[in-house]
Amino acid sequence: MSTNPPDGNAPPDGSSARPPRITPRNSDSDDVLIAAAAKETPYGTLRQLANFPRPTTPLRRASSAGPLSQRSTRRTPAGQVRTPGAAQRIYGSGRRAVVVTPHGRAAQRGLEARRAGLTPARMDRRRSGRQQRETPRDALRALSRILAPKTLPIVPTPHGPRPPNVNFRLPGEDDLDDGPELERPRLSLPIGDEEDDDDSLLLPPQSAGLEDENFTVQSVELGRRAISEQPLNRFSRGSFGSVRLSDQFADMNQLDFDGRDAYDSSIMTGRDFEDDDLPGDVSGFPGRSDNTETLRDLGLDRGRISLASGRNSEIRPGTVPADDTETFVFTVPPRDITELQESDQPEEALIQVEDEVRYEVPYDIPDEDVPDEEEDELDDIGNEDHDLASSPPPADMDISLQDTTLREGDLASAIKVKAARKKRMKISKHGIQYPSLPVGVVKKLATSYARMGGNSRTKLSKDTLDAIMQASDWFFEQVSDDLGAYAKHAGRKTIDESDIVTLMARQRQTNATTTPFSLAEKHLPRELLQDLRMVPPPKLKKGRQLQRVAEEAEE
Amino acid sequence: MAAGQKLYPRATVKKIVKAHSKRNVTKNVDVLIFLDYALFLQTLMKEASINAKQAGERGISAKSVKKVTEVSFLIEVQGLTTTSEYVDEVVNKQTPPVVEQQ
Repeated sequence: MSTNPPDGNAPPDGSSARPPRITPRNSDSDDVLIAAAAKETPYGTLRQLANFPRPTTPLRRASSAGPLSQRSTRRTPAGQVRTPGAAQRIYGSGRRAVVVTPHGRAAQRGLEARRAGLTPARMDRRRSGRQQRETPRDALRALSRILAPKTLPIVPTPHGPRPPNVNFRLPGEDDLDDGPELERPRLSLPIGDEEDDDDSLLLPPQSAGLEDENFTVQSVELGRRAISEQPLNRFSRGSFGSVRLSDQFADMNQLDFDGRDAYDSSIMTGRDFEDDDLPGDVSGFPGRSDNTETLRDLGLDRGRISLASGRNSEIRPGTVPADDTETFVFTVPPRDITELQESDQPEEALIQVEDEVRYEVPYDIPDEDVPDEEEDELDDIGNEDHDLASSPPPADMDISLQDTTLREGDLASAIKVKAARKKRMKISKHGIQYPSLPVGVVKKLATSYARMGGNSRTKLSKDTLDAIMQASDWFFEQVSDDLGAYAKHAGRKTIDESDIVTLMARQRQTNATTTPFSLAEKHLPRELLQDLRMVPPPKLKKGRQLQRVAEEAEE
Repeated sequence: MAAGQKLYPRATVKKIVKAHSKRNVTKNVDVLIFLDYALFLQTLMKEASINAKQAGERGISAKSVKKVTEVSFLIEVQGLTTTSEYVDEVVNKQTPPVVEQQ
């Protein structure tokens, strides 16, 4: 038709492949062919445009363009839905489908529509400007339009009043700053308040600067000890104790009697805190019996103060060698104390807060403890290590050296302590030490139950027993947690029979047919049964619980 | 049951529960708690022996015990989470500041 001449012109100019394609199409249907030809490729169309005689092209183009756009809309609405890039690709595929048959084209269209339908929302969002306008941003814009008139005046108003005040005050304040004693601000209440605010604002930076200096000093010391911190708390404390004593000796040099009293009292405090389990060391000290709690406090304070001084200057220890040796003997006990218990720190911390020398405190806090038997054993081990470690350093005379050596010894001792602790005592999440059930009991029970299970070979290996112990530990942890929760829920502070009965019911250990009593008769010896029967509650409480349940149901 | 002279140290059980729950324990609760423990141990051993037989082991190995332990604890925990009180407890519970020194 009208397109034929351009097509005829096109082949020589454009690629050789086009003319054959187009000609068959022309024979089939002109309109389609036109559309296809126009859309074949933008390049091709552009070239054709360029090649066409100028006068003719606009008319033909215009005539062809009209039908093209219609065609395109009819053909692939889905294509329009998509982005332009995608649309072009789709067109390409659609064109080929068209080539096959109109039905194929329709099918293709349906396919594309379906594809688009699979994710209509996405496509719409990407394409349509409406929804973009509906985005939160737009909502905010709308809000701003609504609020703008109001907000604009509001914003200036607060600022407005302030600046004038500031301006008025500034001269006055400057004067005040120069001479804070002026009374003007005080006369007007608001002015006075604001001055306070200003002062508060001004002050913090100053204080912060001071604190920073202190902190830096602290951080230096902390770094030293932090190297082996966790094992260290004990070590560091121990080392502190030694330092403290040596410092006190230095004090002694300055003040003979006062220093000695303080020193003795501090040592005694350590002793008192610890235990009487170390009789030899304690007996060595004369002042022990004379100690009173007040003396302890005084001694501790002095010791800490002296510590601070000692830390600053390491010269002192060197001056009195004999004192140092003594100090080491003395120091042993405090370390043990510290090692044994870290939990009691807060009490000491309070005392320390009162002291002027606070920074030194956290590490050398001696703890008041009543160590258990096991801990005593541990302590003994620790003491031995300490003695070994501590004996060499006195000759060196330097406090720092002593500290380091002591720490090393402490590390070794700490490892031993850990091993020893793991054997028996564990610590619950509440920080309370607890023993685990004796292995013998568990083994006996487990063996008997294994027999009941029909396993003829009842011997349990050590690994198995360990696993069972672990399981029973977990069991007790879980059960105690639950019991505590039940008690708390009931508003009780003590765990009651009702709690365990409830728990067993929830564990499905007891049900309608099995009561805790029947189970107890099965599993427990008579003595314990008697204890159980001494206490009526289980059945009664069960009855009550049932009543409660009934009441709840009624409600 | 192995009655023996003493089935278990009552004080120890009390201590354990007290340490974990941070609550006091009334006089004879430990008996029931131990009963519960005995039942637990029974099921544990039963399951462990079943597991061991399935695995073709002789006797009961630590492995089978551990497997059974995991399963039983999962069940227990699940039961716990469904209990409203426990959930409340968990919600309200404050994590202890410093727990383990080991």
